[in-house]
Amino acid sequence: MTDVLAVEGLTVRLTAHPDRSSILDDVSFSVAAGEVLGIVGESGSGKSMLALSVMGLLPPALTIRAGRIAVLGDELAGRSRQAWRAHRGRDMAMIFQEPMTSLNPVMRVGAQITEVLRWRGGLGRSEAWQRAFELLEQVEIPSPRSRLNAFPHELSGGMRQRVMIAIALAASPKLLIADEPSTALDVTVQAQILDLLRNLQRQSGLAMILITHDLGVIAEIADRVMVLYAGRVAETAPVRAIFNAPAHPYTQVLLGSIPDIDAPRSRLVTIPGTVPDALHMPPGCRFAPRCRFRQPRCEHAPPALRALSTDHKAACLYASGELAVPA
Amino acid sequence: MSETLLIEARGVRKHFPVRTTSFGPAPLVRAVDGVDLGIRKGETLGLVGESGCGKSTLGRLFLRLLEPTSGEILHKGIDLTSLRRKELRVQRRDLQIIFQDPFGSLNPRKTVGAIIAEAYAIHGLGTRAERVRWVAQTLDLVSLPREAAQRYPHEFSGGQRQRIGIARALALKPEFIVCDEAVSALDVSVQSQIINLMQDLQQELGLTYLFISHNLAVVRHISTRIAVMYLGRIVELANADALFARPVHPYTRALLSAVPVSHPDLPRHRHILRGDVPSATAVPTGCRFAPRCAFAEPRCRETDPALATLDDGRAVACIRAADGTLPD
Repeated sequence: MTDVLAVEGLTVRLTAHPDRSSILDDVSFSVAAGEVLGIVGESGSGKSMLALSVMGLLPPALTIRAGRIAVLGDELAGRSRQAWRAHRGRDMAMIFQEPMTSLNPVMRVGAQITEVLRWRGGLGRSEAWQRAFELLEQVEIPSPRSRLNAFPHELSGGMRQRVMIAIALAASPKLLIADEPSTALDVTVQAQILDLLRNLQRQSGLAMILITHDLGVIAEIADRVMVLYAGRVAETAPVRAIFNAPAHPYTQVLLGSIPDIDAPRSRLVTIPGTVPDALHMPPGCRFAPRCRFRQPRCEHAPPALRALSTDHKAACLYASGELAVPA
Repeated sequence: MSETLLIEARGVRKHFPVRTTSFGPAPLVRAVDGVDLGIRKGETLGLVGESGCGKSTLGRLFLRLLEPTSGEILHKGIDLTSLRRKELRVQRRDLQIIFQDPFGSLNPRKTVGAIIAEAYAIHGLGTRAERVRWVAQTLDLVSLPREAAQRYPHEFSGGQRQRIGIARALALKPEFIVCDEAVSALDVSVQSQIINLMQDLQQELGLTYLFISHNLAVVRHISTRIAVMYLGRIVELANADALFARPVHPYTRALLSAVPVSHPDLPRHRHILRGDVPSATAVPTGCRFAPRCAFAEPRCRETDPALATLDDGRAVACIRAADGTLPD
């Protein structure tokens, strides 16, 4: 399988304060065609900034300071806006949490979809309208013909997210990044959207990155998982390994802190303290101040992401066996 | 747990008029449309449903923060809706609420101490020195340092602010607290701290909670019983474990089946719902869930089902469940 996206050593800092702590620090991962990579993290983990980095849409306050981002083998980090634009929309597309703020409120749904088809797909006017109709059918919008003439405010939240997905898929991208696509939706609508994304992804062999704070969503849809904590990769593994044998202490407490809907009730695990402030990250392991296994060595230098098995990696001195687990 | 009811809603309705138009009479949003619900002393009653189902409105009606259109709220035998302002204020000492947004619900210009002590001022309780002592004790309860009293809300993290919100609710030693999406805005690692705190406080102080949330995993974890709301009505009320083990109402089944599984190896049994929730201004006749229900019969569109108690003690508003013809 070829990598649709390869990211290596990505480091993002505040443009105005390159000497301060990094917002993303030495992040490496790849996504292959036909694969769903779930990225989990709490607020402040940098998961949304990671998505914007890949799309070349970082706000001016943030700058990529190191690392590579390759889309379909084409190196993009450090290149011009035009270089990103050649890929954005065509090879890679993104959907966001709140469809109402990403759709143009004064443009009809059909016009917003055909815009992509005509500019990106080079279709003529009537071809584009026909294709837009098919796309709405594909994302299972009822009576698609009349919806083409609707404005976003005339649609429900779930319907709007379907329109966003239709726009994202319009140019047949190879990579789809979905940032909390179902978080703002009710649980029954969330289930519909997740099923739709999974089906579309399977049919077309898309590479998909799904960003979420919800481990349940990960369990439903991801093939592989990357856990981010405070801008660093804590752990990455196939989805079953994350749930069955989490190696990083953060992943372990994260799984224990969520009420399990399918198991008898037990007291929830808590993590003391809060996520560190982005500008004042601890110098060593960023989780160390909250970690119950913390040792002086953890606070000196950030632990490297080491392979525990072929496709399971963790950035923790315990997980990699460099420190003995205390009894 | 005793079976005595601490607070009870009887036939409660809340209809909001929508902005009048030149096209005729203003339509009514029937946010809460005939709810009977008793909350037992010492329990946590979970209230779940999707956005717009009326769960937050119902929570506010329990405290008479909203005036019901009709119906009664009985607290210790007294109908809150019949009370005058002053009498209501006395009754309210026992009834409190915690909101979702720990950023929007705390006055940014007041110190934490002043926020908590406001309750004493309103009710004319204690001397200055006593109030300072009570504030300190309340901060102890929620595990915040006593120095927090001199600081302002913005100096605290989201989790700590929610502790302040809880402290404010506890200031008058209430019996009953409505928790309206109280942990929904928090990150999971912080959310678990607050859930554990709320459970400890309940044990320690004998509190009764109405726990409103759209997060079904959290509701199952914390609740004794759970009520499921759809379009202004309770459609099912059962013990938490019984509800999750065997949801009966077709809407409850669909709702629970939509929750993401907790482990990738668990099987998924989805009952995908058709369409969207109808508008609360145009409630379907008969059973309000019938247009989306996979088991609906013609008679479902004619009869508005009452909440009926089944053999196992749960209550379900479905005529097919009541006469035993609802398939499993």
